[in-house]
Amino acid sequence: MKTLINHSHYKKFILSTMLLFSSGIFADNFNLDYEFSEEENWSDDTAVNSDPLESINRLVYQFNDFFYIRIFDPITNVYVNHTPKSVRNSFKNFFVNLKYPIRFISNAFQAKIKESYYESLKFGINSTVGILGINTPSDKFSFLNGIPDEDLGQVFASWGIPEGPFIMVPILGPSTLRDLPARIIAREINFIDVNSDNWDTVESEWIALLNTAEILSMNEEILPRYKSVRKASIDPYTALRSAYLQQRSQEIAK
Amino acid sequence: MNILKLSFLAFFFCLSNNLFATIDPSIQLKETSENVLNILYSNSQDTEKEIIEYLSKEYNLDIIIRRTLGRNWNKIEEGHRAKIVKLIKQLVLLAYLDGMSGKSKPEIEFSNTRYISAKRAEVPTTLYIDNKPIVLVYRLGLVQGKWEILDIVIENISIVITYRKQFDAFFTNNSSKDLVKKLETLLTDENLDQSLPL
Repeated sequence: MKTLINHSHYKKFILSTMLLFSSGIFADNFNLDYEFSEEENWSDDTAVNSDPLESINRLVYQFNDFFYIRIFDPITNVYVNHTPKSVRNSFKNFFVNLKYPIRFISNAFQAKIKESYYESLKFGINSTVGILGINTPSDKFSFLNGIPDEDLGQVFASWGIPEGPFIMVPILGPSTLRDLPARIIAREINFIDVNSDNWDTVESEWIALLNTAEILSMNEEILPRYKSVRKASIDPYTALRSAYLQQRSQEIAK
Repeated sequence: MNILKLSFLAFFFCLSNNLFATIDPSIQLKETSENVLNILYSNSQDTEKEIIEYLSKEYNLDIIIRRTLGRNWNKIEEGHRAKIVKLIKQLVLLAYLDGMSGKSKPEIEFSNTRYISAKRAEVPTTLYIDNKPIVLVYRLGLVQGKWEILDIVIENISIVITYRKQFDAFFTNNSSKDLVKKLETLLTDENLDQSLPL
């Protein structure tokens, strides 16, 4: 046997085996210095988001940042530290429930009949059994969980209205030319919208109180995220813009 | 005879590399995530350092960092590259750990791995931080026969895209020296979340 197989054959076998498999191994070699191929661009953001108002947006961002960190954050901290979690959760649930009309309309305008029906069912259960929405008994029904929060911006996108330029809105934060009117309309449809003509009435004081509570409830969720993005960013404005646009495009795609 | 043994060894070594590629990447990810959380919620003095050391053993973190820089890599002076990669690694980890921190140790739920192609996969996970669900998707790539993290998408926001956009903006008016300075400031200023850009 030994005489039949020449050592040079072994060498050839080893070399060919190594060559065969090494080609497989190094085919997916990730060279840090090479230009990214199409596949390497897999998770790249190829879309060029329009920001012709960048200089103004950056100024508004600076104002907002001051407002969020110096005014909203301390107030929200007082709210979080002096209000029991169960009460804060009840507030949050109450305000989420109140936004039912906009979710229903947005689903209906996109012909999402099943989602519109589920939203109505959820609203009905939480408003009655859940006592004005402060509790969420609808959570017990798995089919009512995970309904995407639809808004009018998504409706406009589904109608083919382009995104338009990015806009940093004072106090409200990031938006686009398409999302901004959607937010204004949503505010009008809101059950607890402030009617400026009735500011001197007792009811309007309650409305103002509810609006304040709503802002506090929202900030409890949003501010920690904002601060976290801000802390780990080289350019917080660009980070915020990119995060907002990525999130919106995913919400619209769903 | 030795040559024959060697040839078999070489054959099995190469084969094992290819077989490794067929292993579900979520298995390693599950173990790594669990261990990262254990370190994060331990009483260790320097959790960040420990996590970086542990993660660096499990994954080649340079890949995700290099991806955040994209074509800006070419704008970085040779002498600054290693330092910048190290600093960004710390910063990205800071963002990642910040997202994972809660009052109590979060629970992680892993969904089935989605294979985009033979060399690309996504592992969707749901992180329950203080009972709040956060959707986190790991994008992985097969690099040199091993699954490596290419991107982490937290609530539809990609770490790679978000940082790359910032680097694109940064390098329009700044140099790599400025970036080193900026990153060092970001990582050392403990009161940064209270400082204002005004």
